[in-house]
Amino acid sequence: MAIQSIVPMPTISVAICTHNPRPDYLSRVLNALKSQTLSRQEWELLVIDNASAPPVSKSVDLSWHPQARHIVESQLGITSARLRAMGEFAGELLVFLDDDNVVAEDYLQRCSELFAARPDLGAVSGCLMPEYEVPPPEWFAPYESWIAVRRITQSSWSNFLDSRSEPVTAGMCLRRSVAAAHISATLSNPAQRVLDRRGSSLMGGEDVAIAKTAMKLGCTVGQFAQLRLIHLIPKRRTAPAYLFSLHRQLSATGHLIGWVDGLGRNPIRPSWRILVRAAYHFVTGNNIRRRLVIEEMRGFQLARKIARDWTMAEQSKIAPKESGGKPANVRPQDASAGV
Amino acid sequence: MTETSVIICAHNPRPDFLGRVLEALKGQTLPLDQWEFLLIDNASREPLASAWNLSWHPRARHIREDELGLTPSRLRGIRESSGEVLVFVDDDNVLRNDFLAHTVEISGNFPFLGAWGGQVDGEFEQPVPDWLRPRLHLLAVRNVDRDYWANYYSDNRSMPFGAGLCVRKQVAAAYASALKTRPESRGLGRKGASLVSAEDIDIGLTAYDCGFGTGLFARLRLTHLIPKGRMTAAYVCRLMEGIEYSSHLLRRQRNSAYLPPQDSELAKWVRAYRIWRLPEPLKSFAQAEKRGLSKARAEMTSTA
Repeated sequence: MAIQSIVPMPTISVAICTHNPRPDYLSRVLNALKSQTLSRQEWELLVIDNASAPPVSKSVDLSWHPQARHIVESQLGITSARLRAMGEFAGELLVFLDDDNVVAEDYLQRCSELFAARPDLGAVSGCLMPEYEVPPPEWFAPYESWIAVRRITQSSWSNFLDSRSEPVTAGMCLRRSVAAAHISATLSNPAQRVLDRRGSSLMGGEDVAIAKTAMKLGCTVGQFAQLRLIHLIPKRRTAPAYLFSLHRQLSATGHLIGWVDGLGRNPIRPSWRILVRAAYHFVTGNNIRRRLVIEEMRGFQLARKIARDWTMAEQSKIAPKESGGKPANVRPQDASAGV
Repeated sequence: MTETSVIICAHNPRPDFLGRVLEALKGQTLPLDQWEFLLIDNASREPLASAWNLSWHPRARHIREDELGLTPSRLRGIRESSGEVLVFVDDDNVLRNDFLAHTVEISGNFPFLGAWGGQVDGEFEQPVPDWLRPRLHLLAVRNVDRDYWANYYSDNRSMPFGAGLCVRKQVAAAYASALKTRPESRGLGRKGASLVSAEDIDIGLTAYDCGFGTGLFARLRLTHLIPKGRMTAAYVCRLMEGIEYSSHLLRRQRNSAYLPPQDSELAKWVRAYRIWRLPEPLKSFAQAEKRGLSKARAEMTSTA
């Protein structure tokens, strides 16, 4: 009794979140969108300008697309930009692109087909191949995945959190229901907002948050090989200094995720296991590895500082309005525990 | 209309256990006309056909498979069945009365899964000793707190075990034909007294090969009847050895370049010291696992 149900093709919204983009990169990103095989009637384009100076709308013309808009999000931070996109998009599916993501010409069509065939999917990303401005040094290869490179040949999906199936935000396609739930999860737990990549700073961590939201709704998340995009990597992102700074910030993000999940009650400090492992890597590793160990430890420091600053800002916001009304869900003494 | 085939593979079953297994099948909420029932008698001393009356089911059959082993029995069941979904039930698995109904529902709602299973509760013939409690998964007892699914093997979270294993026909057929090209994998299932057991993982991996995922569902539940004999440290030792051994064998058969990991000299001494320090029965367990690993490694290096 195979009932062939007719699933309507979802309509797609593409949101490019950008902050002071490199003009040559952004124009390649837009050109890739111009040549999509999916008809322009079936998708809309939102360019979220995250406090760029000069504004992106001055230099980028979107008149080639029938349903395109410039949106300015003046609150600096990729989280704010993405939340804005989640609040503004009109389609059934939302595709996040960074201002250095050049999608294959069938990207949107494949997203649409994939989500129509798999109603269980909540959020997915694809195969992200790097295009380096300068060839990276040999030692860089194992760290490629840190800068959102995913050379996948096989699709992996699951309904539980696992690095192999965890989608990245670059090129992420998500369902409306997931976007809506993510917005309310972020609003109900404002500490979520500390997981942010503010302008030139590097904090990530939203990918995990969105994946968790999708899975809470009972959805599958995954990485799908048929969604192909090229990630443009400028010279500075393959330099050791960037890697070190990235590692510090990603470590901090990891610690903050635990802190956010515990509504600010989990202290941020390394367990003895982490310390033993760090000591081991420090002794046995090469220079790069050694420096990364140091940066990991600095990550704890950074996470504590961010948590503390955020807590204090939040309390000064709440205190004058209603003293003792809404309980601050973050206590500063915990945030700084273990200093 | 036959959508589901229930296949029981039995080898010298305990009559009281098999009686309860059949009672549980009689009590299924899924109407009898929506499933068929194959009772595979795997070389039992007393033929099951003479002892067990299946006339209560309109489409039940006794099938005799003389080649000893769980895998030959399963293959026979795959060959003889006509359902879209095959449910493998062991001769000590008591299905909850909604098991088959849920199987049909899952098959319809999760077309992307090729093999799935559920929660297995243990019913023990004697109180569970403390040392066994953390090892109940070895007896295929598992708690499934929520639904899990994935299309790759990361850990056992989404991998169904043989007890109450539901397999889509396409995956079962692919498994049967894969075993023709690697007949050595027929030895991965239990055989008489031998306790190798990786054929269920092999079926799960075949689902991935076919582009499907595998899953575990909290609403699929069965009770595994566990006799005293399986609650002894000696049995668990043999079981651990068999599982360790066959897990490496399975990897080797699927990837001819695979070799079990080998410790460095230092790690060997550290491990030996740690095993030596363990209290019984943990020491025997660790030694059993080590035996399983060394046996697999020895076999592979000698045939390489």
